[in-house]
Amino acid sequence: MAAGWPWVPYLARVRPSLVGQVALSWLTGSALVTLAMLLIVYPGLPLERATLAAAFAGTFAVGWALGRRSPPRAPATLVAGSLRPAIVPIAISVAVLAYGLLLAFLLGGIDSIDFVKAWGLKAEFAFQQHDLTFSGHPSPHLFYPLLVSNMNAAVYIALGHVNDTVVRLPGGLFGVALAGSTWWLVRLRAAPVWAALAVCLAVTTPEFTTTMTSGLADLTTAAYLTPAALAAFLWVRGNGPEWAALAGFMAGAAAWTKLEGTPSALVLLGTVLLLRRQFRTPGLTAWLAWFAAFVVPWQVYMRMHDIPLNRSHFATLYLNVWWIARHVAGQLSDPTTWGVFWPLCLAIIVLAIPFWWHSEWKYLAALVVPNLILTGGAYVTHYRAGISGSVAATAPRLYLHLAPAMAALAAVAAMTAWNGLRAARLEGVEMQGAGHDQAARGRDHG
Amino acid sequence: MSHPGEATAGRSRAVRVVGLAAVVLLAAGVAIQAVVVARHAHTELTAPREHGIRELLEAAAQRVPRGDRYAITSLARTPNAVYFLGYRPVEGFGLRGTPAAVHDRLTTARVRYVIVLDRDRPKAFRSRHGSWYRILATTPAGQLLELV
Repeated sequence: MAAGWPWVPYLARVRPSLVGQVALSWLTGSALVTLAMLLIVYPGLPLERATLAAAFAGTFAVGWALGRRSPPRAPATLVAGSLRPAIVPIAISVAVLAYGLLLAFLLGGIDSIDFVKAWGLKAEFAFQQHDLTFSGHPSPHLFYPLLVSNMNAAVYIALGHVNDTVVRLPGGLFGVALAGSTWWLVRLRAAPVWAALAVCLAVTTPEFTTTMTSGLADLTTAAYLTPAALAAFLWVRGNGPEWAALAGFMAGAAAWTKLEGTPSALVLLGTVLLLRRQFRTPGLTAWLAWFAAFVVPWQVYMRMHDIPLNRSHFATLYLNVWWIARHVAGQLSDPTTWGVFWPLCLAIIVLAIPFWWHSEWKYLAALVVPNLILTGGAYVTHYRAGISGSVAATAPRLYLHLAPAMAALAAVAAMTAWNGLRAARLEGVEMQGAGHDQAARGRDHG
Repeated sequence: MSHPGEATAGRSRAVRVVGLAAVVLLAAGVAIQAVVVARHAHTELTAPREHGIRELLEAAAQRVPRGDRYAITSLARTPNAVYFLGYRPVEGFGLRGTPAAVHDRLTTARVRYVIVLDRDRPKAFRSRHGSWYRILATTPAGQLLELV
């Protein structure tokens, strides 16, 4: 968090509130330090305590220097509104996040399959071999991006031994950072109660709390994709390049976390370009530069060290659309995993269409909904070609990447409905008032 | 025949109703989700936590010399074995059949250690005191065997 602290105002071009600053510092610091670990091994330096300390210090120093060279940042302006109606959803959110973190202390070592075959095993190799070549690693998943495995490796290097109980905690903090960044980014355009409801809806699913400390990368991907979408929304709403750097940074970090982050990030960029109807839109260079900063070094490193891609990924395509639709619908309506999250969000968004369709929030819908539809595309391919069961096991988790942004969209859709109803009521009162006045005037005339 | 003004008023009333429904749904939905998570937390916190497989594989990592060939009876738990031992078990031969047939296949494949999970225990390993293997470790999840 300390390493990412000076980067936040530099990227956002404003000074966030304390909650936003803390949350975004965790996200930026984690992404940059894990990227710095890759840059350390490029010239052949070993990953050990001294170089890891240099990665932390270097990340902080570069952010601080960039901040010094940039114009002073003004405090971000939040929408006015009372905090009182937001207290209940905030209290629920805090309780749920505290429970999610508590699990890190209760559950012991991580046994989830994706952790033991990818994120945890790669961290162990990085810790033992002091590099990122993963030589002798038996897994076919070496080409996976490195944010989560490097973060686990950093914990092991700092501790001096492998401890897959402790790494539950930094994983859980991504859930907290997601909540904090969503709160601040929604607060830039909405009153506290709506931002609180967006956060509360996002965190109150069993899938969210379970994935906080399961050692998987899905919630971490969501923690980057959600601010990437919200910052892209703010970028679209402005006329200049503001918010493009933050949107690009978060999109790049999502791609640095999980393979699926790359197509989701590119869909966000494509939507921004379509909405602005301008290919060379202001901010495009900053977005692309940050995205490339997280994607290119690892791709080059893989080729330098003959780390193979999974060529069987597209060897078999599953094109049974009916089965995919039924499976997705079944998974997303499973109450043990999601509660009523998906039907609820979709119902709110659909019911409130008459209100948000003519508001600025239609741009957020344009950024969130395409990725939701395209995620079904993940079902047509899988790394274990020929094993259709493996598609069913993994693909539903991909919807967690988009769930928090969906929650934010549902909350602001309800907000537009509420504001529309209030405006209509006030208009009605005024018209009634005007009628009374006319009647009174008529009596006076009489 | 209805007046155009009435149709507009009816439509705006319908829009108001769906708008109100969206707001009510959000408030009710957050409450429902809070209850769902609370119940999930109760289930999660009261469920027994078993790390038997971890304990067995840690024992295997300590006792199997690095590089020696081993097998595991559950294909689904192969990643867990790789995580603890650092390399893949020998695969591609069946562990089903009579003890003699399985013994022959293990010997041909030069497998020296077998991790037997209780949840996936082949017939050949039913006996906990087999004459052709000795038990190196026992945990609630299974046993580590060395072929003799």
